Amino acid sequence: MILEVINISKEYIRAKKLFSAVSHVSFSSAEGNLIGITGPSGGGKSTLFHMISGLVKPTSGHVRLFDQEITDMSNDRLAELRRTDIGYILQGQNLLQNFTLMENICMPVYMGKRFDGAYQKGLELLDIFGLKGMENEYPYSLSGGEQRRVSIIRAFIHSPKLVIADEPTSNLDIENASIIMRFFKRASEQKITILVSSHDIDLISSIATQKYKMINGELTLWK
Amino acid sequence: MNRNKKRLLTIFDIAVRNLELRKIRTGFMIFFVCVLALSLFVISVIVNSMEQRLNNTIDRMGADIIIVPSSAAADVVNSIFLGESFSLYFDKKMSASITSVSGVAKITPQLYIATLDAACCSQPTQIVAFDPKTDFTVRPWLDKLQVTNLEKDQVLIGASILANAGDKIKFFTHTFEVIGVLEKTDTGFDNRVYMDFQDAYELMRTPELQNIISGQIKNEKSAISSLMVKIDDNADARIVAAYINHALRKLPIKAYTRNGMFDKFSDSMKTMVYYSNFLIVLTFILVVLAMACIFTITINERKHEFGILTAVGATSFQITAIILTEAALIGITGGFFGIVAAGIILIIFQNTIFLLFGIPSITASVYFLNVTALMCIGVSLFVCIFSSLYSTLQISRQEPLLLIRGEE
Repeated sequence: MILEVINISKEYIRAKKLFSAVSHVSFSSAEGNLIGITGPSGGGKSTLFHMISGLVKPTSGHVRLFDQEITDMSNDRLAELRRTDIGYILQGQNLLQNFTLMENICMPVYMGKRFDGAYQKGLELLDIFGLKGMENEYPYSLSGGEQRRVSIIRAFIHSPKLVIADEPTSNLDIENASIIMRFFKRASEQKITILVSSHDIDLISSIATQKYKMINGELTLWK
Repeated sequence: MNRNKKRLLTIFDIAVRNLELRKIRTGFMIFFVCVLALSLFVISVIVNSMEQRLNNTIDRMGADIIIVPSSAAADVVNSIFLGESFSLYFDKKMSASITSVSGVAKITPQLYIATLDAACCSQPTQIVAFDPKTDFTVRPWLDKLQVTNLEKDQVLIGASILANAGDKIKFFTHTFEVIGVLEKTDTGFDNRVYMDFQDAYELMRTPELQNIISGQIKNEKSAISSLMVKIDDNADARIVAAYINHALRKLPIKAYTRNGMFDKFSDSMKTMVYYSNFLIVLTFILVVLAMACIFTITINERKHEFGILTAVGATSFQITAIILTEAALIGITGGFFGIVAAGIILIIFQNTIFLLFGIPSITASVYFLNVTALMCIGVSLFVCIFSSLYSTLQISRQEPLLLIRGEE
């Protein structure tokens, strides 16, 4: 299994009360699956993704990635995983404004100090996402949709085994959303496991091989 | 901006790019460090020049003890240290009792004449007459210039006197031949003209000088201004000076040790060093506080940026390295510009500085200037790294998710 989420929960203190953001969630995925999770805002999707990518430790439960238990891994080891085997697409605009698009795209590679072929791959991905010739532009000259596409390219630049995309299509028009989802579909066909969340049930249902709903921190299979 | 598009960006490149993005913040931080480095460099160079000048002066005196009229001690110090000229005399018969004092090895008299206006000089010059038979203070300089002796109407001049060897210079009605120019010492010795006692006595007969001398001494042929004393090798100058003063207790002249004579200068220099150090420490604290504030405020604003880097796989070590590299770059750049600015200030305002601190020029060696410059850059670097430590620690300990959300 590429991904095993075993009974994980995350609790926060919110307004002096214990708040359960994710409650006893379990699921797993084999290589090349496209897992879609839908549900309303505040349902716990982002917290779940943060725990799977190692950005947040679960209160209880375990996450296994590529047959390794990550729950007890150090932050530095988790960072290494994120720049080698995981591509993480954060919610919202997440490009560094003082770096060109190509530099933003190659940032995981820079952090891993392995540059081989990344530049060429970046050019190819820019072409696929309709941003050909814009590698030396700065993010501020791009529209929101274009910036989101660059974030997605960045998540794929280091050839990860798992890509986690948190609401990659929010606030995007149908055309931009379709470009992204089609790319995810193609990536999963190339054995990259994709974990994607979206409010848009239709968008998820059209591409996902494994579909879930997440409401009030609880994950349920959705067929 | 032309960027090398296919090159791997390093931590250094990322830090440089971050500094470029926040030009005003970077500019202010560099300015603060620049002020610190400038103060440190200027003060170090001035204090060093003053110390060196004092040491040079003491070393150049050539005598362990100097005997002068009690009322003229300050004039002698000013003449030696600042190059101010003066004329004051006592009868050489007063020195009779000194030769027998225990610890005294050699004694030689000197006579000081202040010129009023000389063709050769832009400022009043101090003429010093010495006795070639007994002298041990000027002799080493003559030997260095390979001059066996000063003949009649021949003079040896300090480096600040505007004449060359072979030139003729005129004092009052007399014309003298310059037979040598002494090495520059950056002390009052550079403003002196050395001649034989006989020539000096002849000069003293000129009506202008007679007016000054007549009130002080009856017979100019017995006039001297100081007695230079060399002590025995194992003798203690302070003890010998005390013995001499005991022997001279009924006379209006007094013996001063070489170091003791400059105590006042030494003390005022110590006071200046104390205030300078206080100023440097104060500047240091203010710059550290200002830098720490700027670092803390901007680092908090930049949490989301570090969050993005964390999300794409940057380790806490890499994030720390980026912040520390930014701090180091600010420190080195600020330090460098501070030294350049200090150099410009020392050149542009040299006359004011020399006047204010009583130094004739910057006497610091190239080695000292280089070491001081490196030290200033080192201090600037330390200040920046030190100021950024709190912010760096804060960021490195932050939960990755809080960084991504940009939360404190």
